[in-house]
Amino acid sequence: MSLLSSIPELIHYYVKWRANGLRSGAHVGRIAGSGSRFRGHGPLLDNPDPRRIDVRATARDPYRRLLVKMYQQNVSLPVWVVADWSASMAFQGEQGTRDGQPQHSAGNPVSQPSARIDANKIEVIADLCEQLAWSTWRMADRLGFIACNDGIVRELQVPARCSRLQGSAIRHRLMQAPAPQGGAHGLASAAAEIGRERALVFLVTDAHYPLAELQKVLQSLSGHDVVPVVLWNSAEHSALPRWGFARFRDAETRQERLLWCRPRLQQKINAAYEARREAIAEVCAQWGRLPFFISDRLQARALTHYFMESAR
Amino acid sequence: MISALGFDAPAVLWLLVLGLLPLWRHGQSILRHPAMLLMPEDRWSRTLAWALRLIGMLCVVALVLGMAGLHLRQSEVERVGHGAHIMVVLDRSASMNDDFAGKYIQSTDVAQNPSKLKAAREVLAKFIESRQQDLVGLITFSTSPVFVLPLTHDQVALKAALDSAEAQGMGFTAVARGLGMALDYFKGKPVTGARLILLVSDGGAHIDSQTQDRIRSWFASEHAALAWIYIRGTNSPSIFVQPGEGDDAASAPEYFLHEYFKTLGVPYQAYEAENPRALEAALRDVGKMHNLPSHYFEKQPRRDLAGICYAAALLLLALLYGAKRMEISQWHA
Repeated sequence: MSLLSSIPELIHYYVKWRANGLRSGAHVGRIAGSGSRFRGHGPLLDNPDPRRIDVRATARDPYRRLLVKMYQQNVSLPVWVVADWSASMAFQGEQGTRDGQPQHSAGNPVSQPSARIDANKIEVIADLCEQLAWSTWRMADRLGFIACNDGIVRELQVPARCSRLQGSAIRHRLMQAPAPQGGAHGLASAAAEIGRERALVFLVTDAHYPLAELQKVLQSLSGHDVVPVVLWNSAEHSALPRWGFARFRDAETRQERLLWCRPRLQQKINAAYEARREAIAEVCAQWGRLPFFISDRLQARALTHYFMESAR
Repeated sequence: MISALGFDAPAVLWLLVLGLLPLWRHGQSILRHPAMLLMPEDRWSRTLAWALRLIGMLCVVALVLGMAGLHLRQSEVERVGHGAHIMVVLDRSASMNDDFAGKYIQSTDVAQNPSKLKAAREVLAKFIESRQQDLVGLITFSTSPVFVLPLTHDQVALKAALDSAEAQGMGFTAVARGLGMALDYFKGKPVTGARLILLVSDGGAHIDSQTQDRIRSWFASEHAALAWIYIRGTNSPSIFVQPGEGDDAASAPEYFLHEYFKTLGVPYQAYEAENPRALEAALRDVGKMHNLPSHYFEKQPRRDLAGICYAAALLLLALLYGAKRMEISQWHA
């Protein structure tokens, strides 16, 4: 498989704020430099670039100085994927097993993103990282990865780097890691790993914890531009067994409940998920961005569309 | 009512502890779900979970009770009847096999000319049938008395007892010993109803004075009334007519027995039945007189409940099996 044929669809992300990085890139920065966005006029002596002399401005200047146009430097942007690595992320709809352990493909380093039809959430995270890696590399941005459960999963942490191979590196680690487990409290401490430079953060989570906790996570990341990516599997809500008794156990709280699956209950569950969707959107909107919902599989076009909508 | 329950093997009841098992073991396969948080509260599901648990517990309990051999103990049920305690003392001496005196002598047909015993039995059977409220017992006597049946309501048993008196009678008429046995039966039991000794015989017998005194004292202490239905044979003398000079207790015992009964000091009636119809009338008369409320205990036999327990367990197991079949162990997308 050649590298070129494995280029995934790009995600065209966009931020409205000015990045305060120093490296040249594709986003409007805060410092003056060779960008495309006009910043103002300055004396030639301070900005010794005669190509930028603005004749009209010089003619208007009452102090008879030679004025040059100044531009904002285009800078690169750190992009982080902060992934929820709690036990609920291990959910694989169609492969519920008797002992309740998910069949996570640990020890299988060969990634087969397209061969698998039943997408699990880990797969979606890997897909997202891979597509973002290509997109960020193209924009000269850096991509980093942090996974959190009760704390930060160190063996999954990948520092920010501008490389088109970053995606497959992250995927490789994800596939080799043991199945996600534990809670999601660690998400709130991810901000410390990202650094102080304002970054675009994709917070990938299923939000299956109290909304107050989501609120806390968003608050901790409030210094960054957070895109909440809410990852749900359609099997967990709309593809429940139609008739029969099923004993469900929560992946994180271990709470057990016997449910009598029937169309009426299915309706109730659908309604509960719909209400949850609205509640999450309401919380996220308070922190600047609406959430991006992924059901089953990531579609890069939809994410691009999301950025185009939020750019308005 | 609990005391009425018994167990063959009470030690097995320790296994009832197993009935708590369904409270923390459900035996259902588990499906992992990422967010029980979002699963709506469902009343039916909760009810179902508890129902399954309860069925499991009941099933264990029913099985254990079955193994322990649950049964209802033999018990006595107190009953109140509106009748007398009638102890029938039936003569089975050889003379009872002869036929009646009076008009029936002319008939030669066996069916229309029954023996005295047969007639007495038939009439007594009818009497018993019409007196469902009464407790009736039966003692037969000839040379010596035979205790056939204690006081009972059981019509079937009474009929059978009367039928058993069908066999050919024999020997003498030991009236005193028959009466003695009847009185002995009453002895020591609380007086819970009007007591009547119904003596059905076709002849008297001489009772010596010593025995006469003893019987008299027994009658007094047991408060039993006496009715004598004298089945008068073809050539028998009447008990109401004083025999001629020269007859004594040995040659005409019936009259003297009647005279003795009159001196007992308890209610006494004598009837002289010369044919089955007269016998019937006499019995009807007796029935009218003794109609007082009476208390008595009836025995209920032991009832085995293990079968019911096992049946219940089977039913519950069938329900659990159905639930198991409805269980989902795999996601079907």
